[in-house]
Amino acid sequence: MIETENLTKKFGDMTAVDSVTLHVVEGEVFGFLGPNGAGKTTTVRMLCCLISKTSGVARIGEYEVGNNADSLKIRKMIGFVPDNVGLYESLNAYDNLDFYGKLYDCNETQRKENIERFLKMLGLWEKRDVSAGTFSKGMKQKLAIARSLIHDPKVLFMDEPTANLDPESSKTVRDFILKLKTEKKTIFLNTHNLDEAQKICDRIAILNTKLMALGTPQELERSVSGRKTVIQLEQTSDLIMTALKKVTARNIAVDGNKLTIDVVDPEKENVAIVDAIVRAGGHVQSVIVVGSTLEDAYLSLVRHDK
Amino acid sequence: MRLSKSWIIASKDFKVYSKKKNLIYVLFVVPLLIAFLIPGVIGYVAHKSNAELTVFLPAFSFFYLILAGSLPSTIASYTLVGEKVEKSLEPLLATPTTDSEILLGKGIAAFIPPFVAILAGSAVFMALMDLVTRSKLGYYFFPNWNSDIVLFLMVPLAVIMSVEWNIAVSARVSDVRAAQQLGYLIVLPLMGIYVSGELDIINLGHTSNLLIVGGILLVVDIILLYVARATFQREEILTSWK
Amino acid sequence: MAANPETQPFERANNKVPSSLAQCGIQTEFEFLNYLRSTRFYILLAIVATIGIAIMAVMYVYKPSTSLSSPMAFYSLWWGSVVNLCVILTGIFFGADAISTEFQNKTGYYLLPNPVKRSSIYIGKWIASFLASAIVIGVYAAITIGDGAIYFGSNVPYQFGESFVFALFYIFPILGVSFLISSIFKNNSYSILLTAILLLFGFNFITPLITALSNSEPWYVLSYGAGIISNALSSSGYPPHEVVIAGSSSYSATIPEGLAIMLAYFAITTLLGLILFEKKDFD
Repeated sequence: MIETENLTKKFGDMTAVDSVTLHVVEGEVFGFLGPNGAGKTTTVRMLCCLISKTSGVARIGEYEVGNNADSLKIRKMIGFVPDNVGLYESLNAYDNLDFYGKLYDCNETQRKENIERFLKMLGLWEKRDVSAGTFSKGMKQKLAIARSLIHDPKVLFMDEPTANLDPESSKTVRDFILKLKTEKKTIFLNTHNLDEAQKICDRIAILNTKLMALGTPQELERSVSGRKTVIQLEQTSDLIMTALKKVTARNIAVDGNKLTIDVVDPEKENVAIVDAIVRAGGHVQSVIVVGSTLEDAYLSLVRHDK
Repeated sequence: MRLSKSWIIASKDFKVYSKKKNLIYVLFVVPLLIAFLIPGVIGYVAHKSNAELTVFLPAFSFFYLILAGSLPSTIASYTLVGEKVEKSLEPLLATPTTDSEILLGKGIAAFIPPFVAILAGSAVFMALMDLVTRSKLGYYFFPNWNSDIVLFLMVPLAVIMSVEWNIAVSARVSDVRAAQQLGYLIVLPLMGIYVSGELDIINLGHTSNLLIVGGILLVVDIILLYVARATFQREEILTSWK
Repeated sequence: MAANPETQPFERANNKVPSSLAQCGIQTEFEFLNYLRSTRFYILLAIVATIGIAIMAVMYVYKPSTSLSSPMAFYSLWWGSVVNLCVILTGIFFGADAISTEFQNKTGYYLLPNPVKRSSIYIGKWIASFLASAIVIGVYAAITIGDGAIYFGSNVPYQFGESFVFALFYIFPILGVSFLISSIFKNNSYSILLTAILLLFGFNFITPLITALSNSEPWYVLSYGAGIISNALSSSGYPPHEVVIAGSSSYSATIPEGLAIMLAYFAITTLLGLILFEKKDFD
């Protein structure tokens, strides 16, 4: 549904986005992570045909980004939630959505139905006649999401939709995104929130001007420095250490009665490790898997790039 | 270019204005103040002869020409700079509308309210002026060809000029306050027309001279249209406007 | 033993609030820096420079004999006929939104909760606006003298100095009016519009016309008082207070009268503006 090949954007001498190649399939929630200034918003703006690309190719569905004839068609099939919600604060919630519905050429019946449907889904129907300027941040964000969906787009670009929201509002938005996924909408999600990305994204790309990594959250976690199993024994012994070395060739650090063993797939390896310890007469007090999280992977990639 | 899209954008702006009562009051108060104040003075205080009155009276039409430069700046600051402040241009630009359609919609929204306010004010002004001068002059001074040319040719051209200038300034200046203040500078050339008439550099009593000035305004409007269009670029707005 | 906060007074190294004068100074300093770094300051300088260049070009091309007949005639055209407009522009640029911007941009939310008096903020901003305006007028005076030097060398009439001082004095009531209007509104657009209309339009055009029609001395009009700026450079000497021609009177303010009018406008508008700002609430 979304394809880019060596997508590049330069502002004068400054390269904001450098040769980004990615492919997002239909119905996927695709996360786009990166530090401030990494080029995430610039990438989204290029894909939404808001700014031009310097070089490379990008496609949304069957339409090519950068082709003037296709840009209106692309904008018709996408919805966009910018990081600044940009609502008309003097207008009420209904009028904000009605305006955009008209711009997207929705007929009156479709507009009314969609406005009612999304406002009800997001809990804003009772506030439809209230001025958007009086809304809380969470309510404004929800209204902005409703605005992006009013014309029933196939692809949704969301730029940090849960930034500055309280935990309850953030959860509501995340749940809503998952609901949209069940409706086969493709969602391209810019976010700083690693926890959020881990929970809702099918795949994640990490960008720091260039694409640093791309994969599922689990793949990204495993891609960096692996995980460790920490085993607390009642008493270590040479017998236990000999038995362990037969089972695993990985590094084993000993700290008193605590063993820290590097593992790749703890679900499989831990069974053999614990079994070897018990057979060698060891008494296991606790087994903990300590691993790289997505945060570790992200920080490792970003710092390494610096 | 689809006029329907432009009209949707203009209609939305009209709805926004209708929620800002102060904006409507400010737009209409000034023309109406002039409309009531000057006939009041003429009628009750002026000690001028008929000949002197007929020299003074045409000058007042030009007040509305000067207002045609300043009033749109207030509206334009909502329709353009206001979008900057509210950061609502980005989602608008993401819709399937062209830059020209958005610009035309904004232009319509910035043109109609001040033009209507000026027409309303000048209609009241002319009616009251005729009421107070009829007995002195023996005839109705307004409307006349010159006042009609000022109101229906020069004023709309001046309003368009002001709108285009404000669009160009808003795009170039990143400070909202500076954009608003610079927008009002368009009044200066219009004041220059009035002052030139008062200093007899141009005889603004001649219909032909008014038509020439109208023609110059039209040329300036066309030039500013290209300038405004050139500055209202999607990419420029998103990357340079702050 | 650690101090018990309930029984021991909590002492800060520096818990004194600056005096009102010091607060004024701080406000002036930062507001002035803000102006110096703003686009509009340089745009206004460019405008006065453009006016200067335009007049220079006219003088060079047309060589009007009346203006080149004497230094007084030259400075009367170059300075006397234009500087009032420059002062009004400084009022619009530096005063019209000085107070309303604190409400519109919500910067007042951060400023006012500090232990600072609103009067200190108002006066500090006023002084900064005055300094910025004075620089612009000073630049225009320099351009004027520069071009005068081309035609008349160092022969600058002392009346030019008088007129320059009067122009600086004119900034007082202009900023007073601008700040008053700015204190009325919470919206920059309204305050700028009304300031521009009143100063450019109201005082300069409507009221002189009305007073011409009513045949009375317009002592209540600010631009009448500001007339001393150009009158000081009159080639035939300072004009008489009243001139009667064919039964119609025209008036020129005397210097004390002009200064008094400007001072009255300054005092009344500044006081009113200050009262309004003191009482204004954030929504």
